[in-house]
Amino acid sequence: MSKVEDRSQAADAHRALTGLIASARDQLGGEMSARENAGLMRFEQAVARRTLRASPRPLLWALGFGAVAAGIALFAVKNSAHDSALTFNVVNGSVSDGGYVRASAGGGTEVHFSDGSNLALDPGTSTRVTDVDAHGGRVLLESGHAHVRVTHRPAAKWVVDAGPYSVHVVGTEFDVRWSGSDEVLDVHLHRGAVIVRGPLASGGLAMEAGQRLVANVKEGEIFLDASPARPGESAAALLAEPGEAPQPVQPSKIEPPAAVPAPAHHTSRSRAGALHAAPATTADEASWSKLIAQGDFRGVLSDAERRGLERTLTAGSPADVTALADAARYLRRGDLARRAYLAERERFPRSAGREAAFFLGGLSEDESGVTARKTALEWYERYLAESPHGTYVPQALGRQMVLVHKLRGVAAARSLASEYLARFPDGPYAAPARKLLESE
Amino acid sequence: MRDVERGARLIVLPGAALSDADDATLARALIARDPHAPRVLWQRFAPMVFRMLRRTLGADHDLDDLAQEVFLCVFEKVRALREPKALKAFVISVTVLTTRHELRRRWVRRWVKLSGKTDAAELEVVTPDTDAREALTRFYKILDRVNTTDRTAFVLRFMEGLELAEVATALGLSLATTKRRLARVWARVILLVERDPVLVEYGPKLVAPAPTPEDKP
Repeated sequence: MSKVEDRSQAADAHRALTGLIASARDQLGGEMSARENAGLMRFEQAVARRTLRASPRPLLWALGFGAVAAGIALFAVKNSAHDSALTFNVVNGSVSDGGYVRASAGGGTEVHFSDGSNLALDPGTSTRVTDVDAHGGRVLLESGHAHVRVTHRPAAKWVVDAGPYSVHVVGTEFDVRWSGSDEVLDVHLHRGAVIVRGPLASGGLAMEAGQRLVANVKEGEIFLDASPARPGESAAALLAEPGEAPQPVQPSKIEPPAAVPAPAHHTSRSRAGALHAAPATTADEASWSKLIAQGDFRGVLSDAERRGLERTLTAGSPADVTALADAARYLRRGDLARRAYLAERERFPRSAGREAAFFLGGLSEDESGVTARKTALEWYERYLAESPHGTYVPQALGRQMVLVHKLRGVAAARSLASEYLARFPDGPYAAPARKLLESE
Repeated sequence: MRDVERGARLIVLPGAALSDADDATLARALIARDPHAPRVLWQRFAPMVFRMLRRTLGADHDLDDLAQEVFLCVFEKVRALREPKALKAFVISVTVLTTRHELRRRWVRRWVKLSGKTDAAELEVVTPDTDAREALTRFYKILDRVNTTDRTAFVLRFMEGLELAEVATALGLSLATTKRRLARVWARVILLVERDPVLVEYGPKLVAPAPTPEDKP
């Protein structure tokens, strides 16, 4: 072979290699799949396992505190027994024996105390003034919402009981809501400081002005918003998605994906029934989460099969169903994962069910064919509609853009690319979005 | 006081500030075990980590597990980071260590025939273009023949586009050694490509911007 041929062959090889590198760069680019994006949850679970302690016993606490609350409720009101005790009067509502106050349906109900403290009750709210003395009082919020303003005085001592929780007040202003049916406490502290004690927080959780606390006794979770809560944000929104903005969910306006049927609409009655269904194995909840965090997905699946998949899906706690869904997804058991996520959507539509829409989109993407892509797109759209500020929005919007590009072409995807770059200029799909906008 | 009951799951909701913070602030937040930090860490670096894993190992289902290893390792070892602003370099180093370990593990598995699967075989899922797939498969078969350090250096420099100094830091080598290794691996890969008639013919036809001349070692 001549030197010229050698040189020519080397040049060809060089061109080939540079072409191969460019092709590998292109084909193995930075775009993350839905499955890869979902790894965030697994990572956070693993981190949580390393930093937080495990094995909640919320129901036992609920029972214990319920008994205490009942005891307080049965305790006679002795406000007249003490000469210097505070007095109170009710405006626009009714008060009966034992200090039971019922707000009028028309609204505007207020309880005024002689020290200047005040409770404003939403229509239908039930409260009981269980105790008053010279230093303050104790109010049991049986159900509903109250705006509480306590006048600061030396040695003042006020307690607002809400279900199994008690909010210890010195001088402050806050909103408190208790839902007995959902077992959810929502405290929004406007000024001052309070300590909330109850299930999951027996040592007391101190809250500062601007903070928001939502405790879900049933799910064993306390959400403490580090930043000032947004006005009007609902407890459901906070519980549904950390960091999610208050957006009312209107399921009826969202068409279910065609290929995978969405769950039927549930009345509040059936949802409450589901929430109060006895968990299949409460004691195992922590261990399943632990197994997930350890990556032992087969362990979760084996336990679930031993317990009964159907039973877990229909009567398991939210933590159980979520763990089963995640385990099945990680093990590529798409059929079971889909069933579990659909069960989440059916049974826990305000919390885990919203996030399930994102994972259902990913599962559909794992299948081939145009129909599967369309289904995936519809799930992502649904997730974005239900959780506009949810954890996986950067990923869901990115996947939506990619799927629209594949299904409807560049022109249709451009607006999504622009939206993506405007919202997440450094997001995981920023590069493909730019590429889309630059393409002809 | 944030003394939650034993077993309670206290979730402190993310503030917006950390997600906009620079790497040094994020590193300090990780060291201080700020509950928002792991999520920001993932969102900031996951695309890069997955890309590096994919380009070094090929598209593989196991990448999920490897990425978890990377991020958990970063989370655990971040306290050892002397210079918080070097967080990105630290993440790259951990990713490189993880991929090198994985490459060695796969090599051992192939050697003892526990798995007949080559890294190149994983590329089948990446592209529907038959020709491009065939070319990439052959290309990664060539990379399978290169030792793990050289392969990692090759990917970091020519696919990831890292600066020479960054490659050297990630591999824990001196700049001079890194240059020598890159020159060596480039020559070796060129030689192996040259011996593959399919690649010599098909490679130049691949439609994509070619690496700039300074990409060469």
